[in-house]
Amino acid sequence: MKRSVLCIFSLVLYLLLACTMLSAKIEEEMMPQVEAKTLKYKGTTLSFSPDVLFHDEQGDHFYHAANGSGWESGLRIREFMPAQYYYDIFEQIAFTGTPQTYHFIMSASRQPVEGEKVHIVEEFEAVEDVHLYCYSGALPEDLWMPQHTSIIGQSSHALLVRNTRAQLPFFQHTAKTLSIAASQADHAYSLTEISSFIQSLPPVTLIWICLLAGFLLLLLFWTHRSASPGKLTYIIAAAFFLISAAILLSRIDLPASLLPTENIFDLAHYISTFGLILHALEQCGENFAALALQHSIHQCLLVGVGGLLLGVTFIMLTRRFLCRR
Amino acid sequence: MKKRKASFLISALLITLCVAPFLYIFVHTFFDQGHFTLHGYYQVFLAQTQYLARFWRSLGLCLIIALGQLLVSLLAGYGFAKCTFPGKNTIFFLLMLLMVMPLQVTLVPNYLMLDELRLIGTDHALIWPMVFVPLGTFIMTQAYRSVSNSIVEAALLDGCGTLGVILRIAAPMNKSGLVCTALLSFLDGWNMVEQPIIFLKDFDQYPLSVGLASTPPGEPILQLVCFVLVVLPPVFLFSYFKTELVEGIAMGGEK
Repeated sequence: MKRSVLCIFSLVLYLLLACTMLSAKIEEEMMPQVEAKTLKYKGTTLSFSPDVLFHDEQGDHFYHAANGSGWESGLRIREFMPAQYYYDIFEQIAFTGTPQTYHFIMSASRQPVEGEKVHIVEEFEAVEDVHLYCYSGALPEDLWMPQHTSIIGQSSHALLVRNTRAQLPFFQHTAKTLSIAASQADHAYSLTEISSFIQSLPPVTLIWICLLAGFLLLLLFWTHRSASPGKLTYIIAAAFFLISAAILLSRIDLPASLLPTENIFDLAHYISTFGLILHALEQCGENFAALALQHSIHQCLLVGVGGLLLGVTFIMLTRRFLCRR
Repeated sequence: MKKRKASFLISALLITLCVAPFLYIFVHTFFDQGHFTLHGYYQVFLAQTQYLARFWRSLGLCLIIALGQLLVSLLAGYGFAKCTFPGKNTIFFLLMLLMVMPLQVTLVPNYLMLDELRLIGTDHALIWPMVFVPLGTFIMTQAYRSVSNSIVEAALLDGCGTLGVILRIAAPMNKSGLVCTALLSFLDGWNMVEQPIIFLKDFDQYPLSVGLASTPPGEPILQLVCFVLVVLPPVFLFSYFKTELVEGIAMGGEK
């Protein structure tokens, strides 16, 4: 009875440790990144470009980041009341609120959600990037783009734009403010971030294999009838896999712009997003993403099968060794 | 036969009344507004670190409290059981008096003492008062009284010191008492609510027992999943040490 209790709770403890590691990484990756302007508001009207407004089905929103309390501690997105801002005669956003320091949200990696924890990006990496703009309807008639950009591909519902003054991390909101045509797009993506996401898939598969292997080894430790001290190799191996998973997790960097808003395991979001991206790229004459994804999936399968074979070999060798003893 | 059936039915009813709330909570962690969902488990175990971080923090605190009390009661219990010193019975009586006093009576004196020592707002404010709770000393005193004086005298004659007698003879003979002390002090620490609220200032320092009361009210499913998390260590400890716990409590009751 005691042995079975210890077995169950050691497995539960392993799962809790694994969940702690995963939750730290998931929280970090899912946190939207924002560009904020910290200003001490003293009572006079502040003016902002209309680009600070975020548009969705419910209308226009103007956000700031404020510290929460209790379970909602940390920097969180808060929306300004509509009465606190308006369009002035210069078509700028005029802000009037209570005098205090505000972190005004200028741009975000994805549509902000009230109450969400955010990370303020202080420095951006200047890169040359290709942006994909997807339209549910037809392309706008006016496709004017700024001088530092050039249209390198287009189809009936998508536009590929090379931007020599792009920045990472990619902010969909900033990309949409490039021009009128860009602002009319339903979605905007960065090809650099798409590549980065696809290249992260094999390490993510390896992490899951490490965690699963550790769990199975711990289970084997308890189910093996031998009383040999060599059984400890199972525990050591399980600990090794857990630590390896932790190290691999620290190396993963998933772009927040491609992740779902609520649940990182929302497969429907990934299928619809990447389906849209791959279809749009194919229509624009670019198939590198499809090839990269195919290559990545092959690598994932290789890692999976390799891990399975190694695991079976390890278990067979260990059991033979323990039985001999 | 009829008496057996009646006692079986009554037992079944009592067990159902005890277990039903836990089953209700567990089942409802999988249902949100009538639909099956793992959203609660995802939010608590994967989406955010704060729940698990608070769990590990509480676990660490309680383990330190249990070990500390074990050490104190291991030594103090032997002193009350086997040693003779002036005022022993009076001190033991005061110890028992303190044990039956409600916690709220000692909160203010503890606060004043901790404030003088500048420990308010730190984890030490939770640990030290719990380490010196008299329950463990009482249990170990009762346990050590069952150790025969002749064994102790024989060990002392053979050159064993007092510490050696405690660690090599008295303590191994009273494993159930030790387990009972450790278990009860762990559970005391795990369930403490007033001490963190009064002695700590920052919400982030609160253990899971206090943090549970302020889970977001708009999401009751999160609170239910947190209940499952909170219940894990006590369930494990009771399942593993139930024999020793019952023996330890029975031994204390007999004396």
